[in-house]
Amino acid sequence: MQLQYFLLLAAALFCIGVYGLVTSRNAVRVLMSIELMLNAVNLNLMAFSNYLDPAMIKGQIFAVFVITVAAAEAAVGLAILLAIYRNRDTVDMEQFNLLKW
Amino acid sequence: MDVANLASQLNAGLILPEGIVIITLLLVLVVDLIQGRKANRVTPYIGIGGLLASLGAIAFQWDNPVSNAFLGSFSSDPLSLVFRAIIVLSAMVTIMISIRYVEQSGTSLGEFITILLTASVGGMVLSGANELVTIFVALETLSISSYLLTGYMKRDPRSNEAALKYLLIGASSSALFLYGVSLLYGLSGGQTELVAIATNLAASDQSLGLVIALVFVIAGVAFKISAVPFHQWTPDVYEGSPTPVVAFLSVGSKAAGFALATRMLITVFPLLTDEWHFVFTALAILSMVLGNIVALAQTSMKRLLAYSSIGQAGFVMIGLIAATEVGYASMLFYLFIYLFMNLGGFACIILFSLRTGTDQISEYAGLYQKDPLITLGLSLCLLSLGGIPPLAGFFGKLYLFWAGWQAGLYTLVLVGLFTSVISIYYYIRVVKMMVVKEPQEMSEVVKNYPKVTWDLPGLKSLQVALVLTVVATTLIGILSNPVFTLATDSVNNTPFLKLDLARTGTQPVAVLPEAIAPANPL
Amino acid sequence: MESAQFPWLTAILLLPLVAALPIPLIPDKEGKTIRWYALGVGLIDFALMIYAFGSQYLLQSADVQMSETYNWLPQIGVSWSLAVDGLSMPLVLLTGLVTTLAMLAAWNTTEKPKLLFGLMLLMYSAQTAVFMAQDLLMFFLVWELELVPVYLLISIWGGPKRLYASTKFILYTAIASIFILVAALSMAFYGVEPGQAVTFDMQALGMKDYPMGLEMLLYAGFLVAFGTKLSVFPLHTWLPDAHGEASAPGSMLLAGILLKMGGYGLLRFNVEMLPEAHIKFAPILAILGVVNIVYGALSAFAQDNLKRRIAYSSISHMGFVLLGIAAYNSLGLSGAMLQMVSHGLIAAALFFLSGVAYERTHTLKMEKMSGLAKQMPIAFALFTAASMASLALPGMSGFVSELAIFLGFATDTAYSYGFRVVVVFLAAVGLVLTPMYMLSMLRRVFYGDLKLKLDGFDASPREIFIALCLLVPVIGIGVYPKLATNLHDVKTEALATRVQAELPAFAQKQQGTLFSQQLTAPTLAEADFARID
Repeated sequence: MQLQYFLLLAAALFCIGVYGLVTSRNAVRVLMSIELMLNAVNLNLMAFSNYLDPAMIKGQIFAVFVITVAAAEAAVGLAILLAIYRNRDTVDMEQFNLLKW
Repeated sequence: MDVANLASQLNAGLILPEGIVIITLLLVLVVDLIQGRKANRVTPYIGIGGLLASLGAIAFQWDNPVSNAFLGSFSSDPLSLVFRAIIVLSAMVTIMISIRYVEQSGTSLGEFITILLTASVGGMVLSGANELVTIFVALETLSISSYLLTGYMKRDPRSNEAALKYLLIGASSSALFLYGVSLLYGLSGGQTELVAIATNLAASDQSLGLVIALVFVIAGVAFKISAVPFHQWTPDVYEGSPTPVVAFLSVGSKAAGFALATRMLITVFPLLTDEWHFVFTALAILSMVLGNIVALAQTSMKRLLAYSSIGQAGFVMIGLIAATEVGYASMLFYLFIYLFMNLGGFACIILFSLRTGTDQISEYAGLYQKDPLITLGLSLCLLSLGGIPPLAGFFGKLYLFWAGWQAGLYTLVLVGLFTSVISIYYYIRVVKMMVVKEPQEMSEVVKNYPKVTWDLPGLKSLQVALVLTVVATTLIGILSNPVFTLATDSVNNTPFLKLDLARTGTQPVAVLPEAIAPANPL
Repeated sequence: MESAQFPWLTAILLLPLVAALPIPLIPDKEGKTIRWYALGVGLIDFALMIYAFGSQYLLQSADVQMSETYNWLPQIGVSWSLAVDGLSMPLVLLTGLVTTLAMLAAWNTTEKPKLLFGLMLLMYSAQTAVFMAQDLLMFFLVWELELVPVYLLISIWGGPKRLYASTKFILYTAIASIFILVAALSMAFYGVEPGQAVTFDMQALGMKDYPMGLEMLLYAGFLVAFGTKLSVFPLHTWLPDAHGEASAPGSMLLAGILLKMGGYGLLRFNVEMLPEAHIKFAPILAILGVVNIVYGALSAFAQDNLKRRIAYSSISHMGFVLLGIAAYNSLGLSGAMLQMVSHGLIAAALFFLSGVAYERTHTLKMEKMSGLAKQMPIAFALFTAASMASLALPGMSGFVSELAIFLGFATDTAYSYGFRVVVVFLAAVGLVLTPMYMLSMLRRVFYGDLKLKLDGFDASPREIFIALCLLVPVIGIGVYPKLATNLHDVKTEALATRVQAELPAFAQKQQGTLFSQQLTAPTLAEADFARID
């Protein structure tokens, strides 16, 4: 298999993530879309690491960090979402209009 | 290679400032756990003390000849020291002005300080990070803590909403940034150190991929410094967040963003210097114009400062684009004085909102009669932001425009000049509101203004912070020579900037070997 | 130069500023202590000026004197550099006199007295600094320094439309001052090699040889900046509002000193530093001057507000300054200088006296005020004297200066005969109009039946004293002009020589286009631009 295929897959995944980010009304789905983008990055890193940097495998280490940080980010995101759900009884993005966009 | 040898090569002592802050935040956490509510008396001062110690450590490292730590992934060069000092100072002032605010809101002070200190550690590491993984982790430490701080008022739906917006936009922008970073990793053939990436990129011919990576990286950086058009989050987040957090975001977080921009763009993209300069010119012009014009229409003080901070970021970018010794130095100088004038302004706003519970501009009407101190402090800080002599902001802008003109950035400087006249208009509108209004035009809240006292716990430190920042705002400009000399020195002693200046030919400087080939003993 | 000496100018400059700092801390609600304090500082500073100039200043030298230079911001080539010469010294003295008197005029202010006197002291420093600064960026700094104090002075203690007027003032002035900075940066960076030190020293910048195109641009930039301050016709619209709305002490400062900053800037920068471009622009200045004279006079007729009428008369008088600057000889330049000093005194007196009237009548509408003469004979006499000075009655300073400007311009053979005739004729029309509106103002305010119930009596001793302090020098200069011209004559002489030195070379190249042969208003011919390239 060639490196390009992995990169294309990652790019496609990234685009799907961006699409979801832009179109979703549900905040949880937006969070998921962001995860998708981060996973695209992970794919990229893994592919590069395998093909270009098999000795040092920095990319794989990087991916581990990305996964960890993404988990933290998701945790914080869900916590905030929970707080907002308690206050407002909704997670619909269109309802969040206390502050002018 | 044995462990002892490796440990000695790490130069771990260079992250002493960060280490002190980490220990402090752990201490705050533990004390808060043990003592509960009673801890509120001590935790802020532990935090401030720790930050002071960290500041001392930074000063102590100033003349340190060795700057690479952790096998090149962290660089403690003078530039990073200056940025770290700015971040530490801003965290310190933020704690001083937030004590009363957080207590009055009924949330836990210890946790607030812990998260704030975590954010500053993130920013500090980011200022010196020299390697992609470190950059990413530091950036996320800063960002995630900032999201938490933004949403700190759990029961306030506005704070929730601001946090959610900040998180979603922030996370997506860091995903974009990360995608660019992953491309850099690939394009350089598996390097993560900035200098090594630059060397490998220069060797290979990867123009298109490099441009794509640049675009993604700029998107991530521009989000942090809230340059137009990556600014949409700023006004909402500033309006919804607790005011002390806004103070930190507008100074500390922004300084970290500039540190990242300077280091990353200059080190990694020397091949595309013209391109990123062009993009930043566009960003700077857009920021100055849009930030300053939209600020004209704001009715909330926090939103006003949000837009003004967008405009100010535009001014700072002039120094970065000028890419000369004076340019970089004036960028540092401006960020340094911006710290005082912006935090001074926020101190006044916090004090006003503590006493009245509002931050609408129209509610400031007639404040001069009731509270001359806030009026004087806020007026001086705002006028300084507007660039009125002899306040610090005037000198900051003078340096920036001087550097810009020297570098031939005539359009940028002219736009900067015209927009700063516009900014005078809206800043002085607030001053007018406070000073000019006659007693009968006083707003309701000012009419019922509580008696001015400083007895409540936490107000003393707010008062100290207010006076200190206002005095600094007034005097640093006139006495700017030593500060500016310091900034120039830090630029001249920073290897990667030296390299850049030598390359662009503005300054024939001998190149240090360590800057070209980073230590990589593995 | 003599660095071991006591830094007089720095002391003069900093004294009011430093004295203003502790004002917020002085415990004084009603302003009784503050006003004595501020007045004392003003007087001491004024005395310091007189003593310093009296003992140090050499009248027979045209160079800058008493220079004091200290390193300030060496990285960007800015130094704390002060000096005086014949252009600045009289204006510094004028500043001292008028500002001190303005503080005395604000004696009974009850609204925010601390702020008022603090701002006045701040302006005191800023204005003297403008006239003394010898470093271009320092000049810009102090030029901007008076922006906010004046803004507040108008917007807090002004009349009903004060907010509009003050906003207009700050926008006009701030935008105009951009041109100073841009011109300063372009001048300093012109011809500087990378690595070479940049200087903003005005002497050094004046010595530089700029290409004609750049010099014209610089000249135009300065002209816009200073023209706005001097209220040159299309840039004048802020002036009637600002002067009309400000309180009497504020107007005294605005008309007495701030306007002069514009004229001073024109002389210092446009004439002295850019003489080549001045040769080309001078005819335009002459035309603008005439327009100002006639336009100001005609507009003054249309005003029924006392202060606005005086404000328009200021515009008209500033036209004479422009006309004097446009003349290539020392008589004209000297006249312009004298006109600035004399107008500073007269306009301050007029605005002050209109403030006196306003305090009694609480209106500035002239038709409502009529008949004040019977109730306030002393104020009437003083007002009449000031008006006579303003309309250039012989024996008053206005007459001498305007005569000098007329003679200077009319005898300037560098201009074509026809051009001179037209300009002088139009200016004379303005001169004829001045007595008409001034006298009609007197008639409407002071004669006729008393319509109002006055709040108070005739001018108090304090007010008489202020007016006399302004009017005595006016008459003194009118009777014995050397009193004032002595101070600046050597300098204007040198200035005229410098301008004339450029003239023959220029006139030769311009044969048949602009000078001495053409009647119509000269325009920049193709040949000019050919020379630029």
